[in-house]
Amino acid sequence: MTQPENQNSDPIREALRQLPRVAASEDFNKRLLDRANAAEARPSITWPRLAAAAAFLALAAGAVFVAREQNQRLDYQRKRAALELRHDELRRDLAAVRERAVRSPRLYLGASPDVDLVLDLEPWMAQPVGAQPAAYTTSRP
Amino acid sequence: MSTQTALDDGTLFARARQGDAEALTCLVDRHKDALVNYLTRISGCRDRAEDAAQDTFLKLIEGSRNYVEQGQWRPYLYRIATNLVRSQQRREHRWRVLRPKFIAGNGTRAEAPQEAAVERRELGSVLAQCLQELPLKYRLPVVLRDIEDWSYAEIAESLDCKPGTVKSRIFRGREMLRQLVAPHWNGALS
Repeated sequence: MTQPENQNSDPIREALRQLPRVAASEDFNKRLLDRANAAEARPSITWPRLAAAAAFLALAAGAVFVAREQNQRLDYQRKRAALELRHDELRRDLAAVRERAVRSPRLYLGASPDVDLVLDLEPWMAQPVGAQPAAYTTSRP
Repeated sequence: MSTQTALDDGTLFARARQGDAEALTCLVDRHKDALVNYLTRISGCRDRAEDAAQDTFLKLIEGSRNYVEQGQWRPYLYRIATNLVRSQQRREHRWRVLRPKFIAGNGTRAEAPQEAAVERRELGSVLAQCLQELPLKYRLPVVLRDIEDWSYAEIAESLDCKPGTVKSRIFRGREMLRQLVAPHWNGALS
């Protein structure tokens, strides 16, 4: 490897200039023509095809949307039915509690190991005015 | 054909756009060698350069409607070629990240070891190999300026940047190349 002869200019530049030129192959034009013809023969994407593809995509998107909506509606209906069922159960339970309370107005206040503490309100409920707060029984004028 | 050869590129391309196959052939003949040389120096592989040159002409034909004649036909052609090289490099980079072992076994510089050893002793071969190690943004203007002998204005037009940027990139590119070549070069490089 030798240094380039021209000392006055940039040796890198001179060396780059002296690189051998690479030419196109003999059959370059023929191959190019073949490829150009093949590209022309290839069916191109036309507007009707694009429109058909767009319509298909829109239909697919619509179908997915409708299916999702339907699923959501069914899910909502299922939840609503379950809630209604639960609501009926609670209503029945409440009615039963009320009925029991009317039949036997006793309050369970608690218990020790030996004694259960129960408040029986039946005597007061039997009175026509019912139970009255203690404040009304004051003896002050 | 003889009447066509005297015409400038813009006029020939205008005729080619109207379906004049002879004008197109004339354009291809006029630029194919320089384009293949440019792409070989950029890509480091003659076969790939030839394919890229063909792709460039095909893209030129396909997108001929987009060209607006401003006397800058050659930079326009090379811009297409450069963009193809950039896209290819991006693809290769992604592929290299994904499959490093595969790429290592299938390098683009398919040279016989003995031939390569002989050639490596020559400055031209070393220089051509070192050129491949330059980042593309420096390699492109250096090749266009120092190998293809383009003006700064034409390079700027082709690479879509300012002439000042082109000059600084060429300067930096040569400096990087100098450092890369230095270990192989018996002599001063200042």
